[in-house]
Parts: sequence; structure tokens; C-alpha cells
Amino acid sequence: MPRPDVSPATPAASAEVLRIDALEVGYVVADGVAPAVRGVDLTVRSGELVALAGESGCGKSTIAQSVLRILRPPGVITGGRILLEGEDVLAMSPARLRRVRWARAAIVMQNSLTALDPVHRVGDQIDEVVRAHRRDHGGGRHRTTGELLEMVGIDARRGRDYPHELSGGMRQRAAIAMALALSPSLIVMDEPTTALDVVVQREILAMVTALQHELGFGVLLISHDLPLLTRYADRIAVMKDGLVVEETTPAELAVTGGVDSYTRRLVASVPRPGTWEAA
Amino acid sequence: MTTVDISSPAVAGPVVALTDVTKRYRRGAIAAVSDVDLTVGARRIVALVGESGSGKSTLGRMVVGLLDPTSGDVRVDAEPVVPVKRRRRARPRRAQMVFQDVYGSLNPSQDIGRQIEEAFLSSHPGSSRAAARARAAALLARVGLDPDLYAARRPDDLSGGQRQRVGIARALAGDPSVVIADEPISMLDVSIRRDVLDLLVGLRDDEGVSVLYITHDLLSAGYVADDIVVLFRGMVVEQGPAREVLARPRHPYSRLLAGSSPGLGQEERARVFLEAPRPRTPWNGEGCPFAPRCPFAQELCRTALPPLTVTGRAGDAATAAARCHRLEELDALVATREEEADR
Repeated sequence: MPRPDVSPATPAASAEVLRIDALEVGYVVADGVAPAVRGVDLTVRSGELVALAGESGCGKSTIAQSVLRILRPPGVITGGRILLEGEDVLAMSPARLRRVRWARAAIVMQNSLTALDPVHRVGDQIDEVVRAHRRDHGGGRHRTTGELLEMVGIDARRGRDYPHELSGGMRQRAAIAMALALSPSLIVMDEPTTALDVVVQREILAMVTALQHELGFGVLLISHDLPLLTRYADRIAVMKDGLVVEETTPAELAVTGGVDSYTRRLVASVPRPGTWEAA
Repeated sequence: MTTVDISSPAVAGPVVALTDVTKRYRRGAIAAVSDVDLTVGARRIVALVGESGSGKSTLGRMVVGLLDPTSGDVRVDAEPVVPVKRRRRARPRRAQMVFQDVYGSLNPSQDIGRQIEEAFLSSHPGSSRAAARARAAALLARVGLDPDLYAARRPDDLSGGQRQRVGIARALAGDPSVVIADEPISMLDVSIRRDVLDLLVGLRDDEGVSVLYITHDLLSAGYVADDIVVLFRGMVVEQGPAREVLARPRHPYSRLLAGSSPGLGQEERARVFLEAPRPRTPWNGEGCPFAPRCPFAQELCRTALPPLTVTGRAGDAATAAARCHRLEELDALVATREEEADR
């Protein structure tokens, strides 16, 4: 499928921003640890949009939460390595982690209404990310909140609004603006457009890929929406039962329809006009 | 798909008929639903497609009587719909609803067989418990759940897809002429969505039940529906046989919607609309609701509401129509704009 918004990655832009090696994550239960992620390898290079596709319970969100170590108990990382620009995330001290979050890698969640604090103005919340980081770690010039909002297509004046005054699509754009605040090299997006309608979904992903092209950050996009992924992802890893069963590209997928049987089932299950007449 | 099944018994009129229906919420300056005419024929699946806030769920709720229209006429099987809160006694409800939130719409503390029985008894007063139990078992089997295995289970023991099947079985317990399915698959895992849609097609083909399928997803609408009605800001902006609306959307908003649906292959054709900037100020209620977002809006569009203009042959099952002042010139306008962009 054509991706006219994105040009091929330049050689300089192909550095690995995220490398996941043999990652194992489980959830502590009464009699041990129930495995949720069972040895997953994955890389994201700068400027690249890598999709992790699969259904509920496959482990894809567990991976998203592991990358920034925001996984809550009873979740526990039991094996493997996560390298963020070459640095081992699992070996980071809590202080180091705080420094890295937002600045090197940021996360955008599905429900931005819970991610954004309802009692503070959207602009103030973005300010706070920058201010807190500067207070704790010093650091140079960052984009202003107004600039960030304009980058994601929101009128800077809307920064004075409270989250509930924005539409679902605008809230998600604001969450992306917040993620961009400290110019991270990786943004993890966990079902960022699932709750939105198709026109808004497309607008947001088109905007993300355009920003990637301009700024060079890599994206790990978690989603169950295969048609959307085939349009925007550079690579797609399909997960089932804690394993990546197939890693492919949209172009490959269009030709093969999936090599793995589960991938094939996912592709075939997309209701498309005319498919049931043909079946 | 768009031909009428000649083996079906002759039906006098449409199963659902909305005439000039408007719904205003108390504080809304702009109507949630505005002067909508809509018919669902016997044995047809009509998809109501629109974004959040387009009024599609409000319309569905008025058809089952969960909401009262501010003005206009809502009929099911030619009978005016009595709002639920004004119903004095139980009687068969000819329109039944299947909800998006399968978790919230089933009683968690009661087994599913019992819930279907209750639905049957409330619409068949005077029936025996044994008859209800037999009917519930048949309905579970109908939606693909073995009654011996599932009737005694509670909703918590079921997957999302199974719960949605129970929701459909419960809707069928009232012997409806039409099922209103409001985003029935948007909370389900992808690999089971198609099964639930196939079940809706089965209702039409085997049970002769009509379906009003409410969705924001044009792809799935194209999969199940005979006719598609596109809503924008509470108004019908386009309608017609599904095949026609998908292959050749006429209204600028339908073109935007089709271009935004990966898999329809309409992205290139819709480029002009996809790249148009979002308006900075919302629609003020004057003129065409899409004008603030339309790259081809002119003075007339901002001041006068365009009429719903017939675009297909009159007398079609669902007369193709669209609501745009510049309908005739639109293809030429798009072509010119694209040439300019390429130059």
C-alpha cells in the first residue's frame, strides 16, 4: 500500500532507538508467575513506525508498559533485555529512569482523558512536564507549549482549555504534544486512536508520520487495527499468546496475506465490502 | 444484495419509518438530529454511518423508544413508537436494541439463560416458564452457543464475542421486526467481529429481521449493509445502496470518510478532502454543516442549508441522494484542484 507521507529512511536516520531481546514478562499469581510475554525480540529504528498487532491478552500492552518500566505489580519482567538507544532500561536506577522518561522515551495511552489531569489546563500540564524535567535535571531550551500545540494541529489558545473541553481527537493530539515536549527519540503509543472515529484516526496517524519525518523519532505503535497498521506502519509484528508469530511489512502482507496461520486469520477477519459475497 | 427477495411475503410498508424527526437536547444550540427521514425496508440491513456526535445513536434510541423525538414521527411496523417510560403494560417490542457495551448491558449476577427467558416473558405475557426456557435454549443455539453448555453461565464466564451473541439472542426473544445494533463490534477483538456481523446477515436472511446497523466504520458497513445512510451533525448528508455509496461517494463528507477508511482504496481520490485543514471555529448552525471543513464551500454553502438531492434513479429501494449545493460540479472541482496541486 502506498505511503506517500513518508520518504525512505535516510542512512543517518536508521539508528536503533529501541532493541528488545528475548523479553519475558509475567504476572504473579498464587502459584507462581503466569507468562504474558514469552521471549520477544523487536527493534525500532529512528524515524520508523513499528506496529505491534494482536488481540486482547496477547501481551502487546504488557510490552508497551515494560519498555518504560511502568508495568505495575503483579506484572514482573522475568527475563531479557530492553535497550533504549543502547542503554539497558532494566538496569537503570529509579533516578535514571525518571530522567529518561519523557526525555528519551514517552508513552501515549489509549485513554488520554485519564492520562491528562482533568482539573488542570492542558497547556499547564504540558508546561509541567518541561518544568519538572528542567528543575530536576537542568537542561537546555525546549519548545514552548504553544509551539507544541501548534505542531499537533491545535490552536495555541486552546492550551487554556481543560481536557473535558477538547474533543477526543484533540485530547489525543494534546497527549502527543506532551509526549513531544522533551524531544524523545522514541514514542510508545498504546492503542492511541482506538476510541476515535476513522476520519480522526487517519488524521492523527498521518500527523504522527509527518512529525516523525520532520523530527526523526521512532514509534512503537500497539494496535489491533490491521487495516490502519498496513497503511501507516513500516513493519508489523503480529503477537499471539505472548509470542511474535510473524514479523512482516505492509507490502509483504498485501502479497502473502500472512505466512503464519494466525496472521492469516487476522487478515481474513477484517470485514471488507464484498468479502462475504465472495466467501 | 440490493435486489428484493421475491420469495418473501409481500410487505405493505417499511419496517422502520422516520419522518421529519428532530431531537434537541435541552441545552443544545444545534439539534442532535435534524429533520431526518429514514426508512428500513423488510429484510434489509441499513447502516447508519457517522462520527461521534453525528446523531446516529440518538436516532437508534428513538427507534426503540428509549428517547423521545422533539418533533416528527417514528414508526415501527406502521405503529407509532411509544416511549419506554410511557408504556403501561408489557407488549412485544417490534424494535430491539443490541448495545456496544456488552459488559454493561447484561446482568452480571444472573445466568444468561434466565436473562433471555425474562426478555421472552416480558414480551410474551402469559407464556409459561417452560415455554420461555425452551425458547431461550433455541435462541442460544441460534446465535451459536450450545444451550447445554452456556445457559447456566453468567456473563463473567463468557468472552466479549459470546456476550454479544447473548445480547443478540436476548433481542430476538422479543420477536422483533428490526434489531438496532449500535456499534456491536467496536469493543470486540478483530478476529470475532466478522462472526458477529455474519450473525446479523443471518438474521436478515434466515429470520427475515431487518437490521439498523449503527457504526463509524464504513468498511464494516459495506460488509453487511444493503443501504448506507451517512449522517453528519445530525443530518442525512448522503444515502443510497451500499455498493454505490462505497464505490462512488458523492457528498464531500462521504468522500472524506471513504478516504479515511484504509482498505477502500479511495485515499487518492479523496486527497483534496483529506488535506483540507480542520476549521478553527465550529459550525454555527447556519448553512451546510460541512461548510467549515469543505474546501469547496462558497457563500451559499455558509448561508443556506442544501436540500437532499436525488442522485440515483427514482424508485430505487433506497433512493440515492446527497445534500450538497455543488453536487453536480464536485467531480470537476476536485479534478481541477488536483491538477493545480500537481503542477
